Amino acid sequence: MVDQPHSPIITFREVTKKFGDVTVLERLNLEVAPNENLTLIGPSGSGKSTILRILMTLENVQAGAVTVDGEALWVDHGPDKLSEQAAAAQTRAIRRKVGMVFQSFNLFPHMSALRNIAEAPIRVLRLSKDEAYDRAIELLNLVGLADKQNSFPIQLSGGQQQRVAIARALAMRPKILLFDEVTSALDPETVGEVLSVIRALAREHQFTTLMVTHHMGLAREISDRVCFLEGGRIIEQGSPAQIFESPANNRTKAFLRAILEA
Amino acid sequence: MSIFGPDIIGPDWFRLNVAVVILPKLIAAAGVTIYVALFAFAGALVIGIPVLSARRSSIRLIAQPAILLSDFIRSTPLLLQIYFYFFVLPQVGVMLPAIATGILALSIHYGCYVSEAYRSGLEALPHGQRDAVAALGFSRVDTYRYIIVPQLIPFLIPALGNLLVSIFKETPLLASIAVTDIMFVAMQHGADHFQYIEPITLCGLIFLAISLATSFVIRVLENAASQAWLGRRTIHG
Repeated sequence: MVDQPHSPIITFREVTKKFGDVTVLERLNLEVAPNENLTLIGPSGSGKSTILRILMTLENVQAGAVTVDGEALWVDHGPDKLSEQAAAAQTRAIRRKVGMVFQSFNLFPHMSALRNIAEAPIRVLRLSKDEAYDRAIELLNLVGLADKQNSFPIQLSGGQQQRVAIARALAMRPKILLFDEVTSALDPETVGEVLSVIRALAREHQFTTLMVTHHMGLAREISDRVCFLEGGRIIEQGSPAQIFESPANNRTKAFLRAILEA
Repeated sequence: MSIFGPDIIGPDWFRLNVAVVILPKLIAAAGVTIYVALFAFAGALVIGIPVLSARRSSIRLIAQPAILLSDFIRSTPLLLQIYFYFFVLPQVGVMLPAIATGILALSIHYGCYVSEAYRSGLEALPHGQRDAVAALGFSRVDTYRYIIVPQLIPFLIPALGNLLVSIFKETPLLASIAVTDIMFVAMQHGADHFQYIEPITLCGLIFLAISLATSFVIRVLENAASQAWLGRRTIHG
């Protein structure tokens, strides 16, 4: 884990999240330090992606408090009362600090790669078109797709689309970047190109990342800390070396055995 | 020269001399039909928006009546609605010319269908698009303007085009409230001269021409829309 001179950039305190009768997160507590690379692993349905979606303000919570970069996203009103979402303006401010890359890319199909990246900076950050497109070109270079600026998503492979999606998230200059199983929907032969972009980002750029992944190799390589979740709780957490080489919990061991044999 | 009119040119079942006399009148009246249909279509496109947002409202007190009302309008005869507006509006103090009443009736009736087209378009949009715009922080207005509506247009063109053809075919109902559209003029000529075959046949041919022309325009637009996503090659498009 990195040193923690600053207060955490993300905190979850006693957060409970339910979909109908199904409890997805149960009194979850989690803190993430600025510039920390945190990886969440665990079986499907363990609540990993839900944590990311709550940070992206795409999901509500039933109880508990969430703060992002010092601002309250959810405010706890104590036992037996529902948590309350911060005012719309504050929610928007938080959205600007957080970027997300999705499993299914979610590029805009009616826009070129370049425009996919430049559109939000133009409309949301109010950058001039020239500035936004110049930056978009730089970002396409960064993800190795300089020659694809005028291609539409339908003309790109899955791996290329996902690299455009990463560039699109970076264009908003987020403080926190969320990766939600970004290689799960890719053909095996294009996974590598996306992984190497993520590796390069983690090495060369300073921001906080939360990643949900089934790539234990990537998790080991770029994470400062790994959390194993099951049933909406953090079962075990520690450095990648700790978790992957000497897990303490039997369920962690069973999960790692299953996934490494697969 | 017989007592029924001029000598007959052409076969008995289609007298060319009659046709030649009434064709200009019918073509002039077709202008009214086209005018009414286009205005009603534009009205329906606009009315579809509030109908859709009312139906999708999270407030039950708005959504439930909106769903009931639009289902009611779609499942009752248009002719009935035309008569309703024609006789009821003056009772409540709204005096409109017959042609405006007709356009209003068509707009409301087809607005309910248009809202259904909008709805299926929105539902066909991949779920991830909403996640993406939320993650990037687009405002609601910008989301519709730059992300949702441009994606809906290619999807909507065929559905809305079919509705436009339907509107054209329903405009003769306005003859019932004395809008002097093509059907009204044809029937009037028939009644005055006891010549029905020629005006009605010509009406059919004119409607066929209108429908074919409309379908052609829709197909051209459809092709243009499907090309647009791939065809634009400039950076600042």
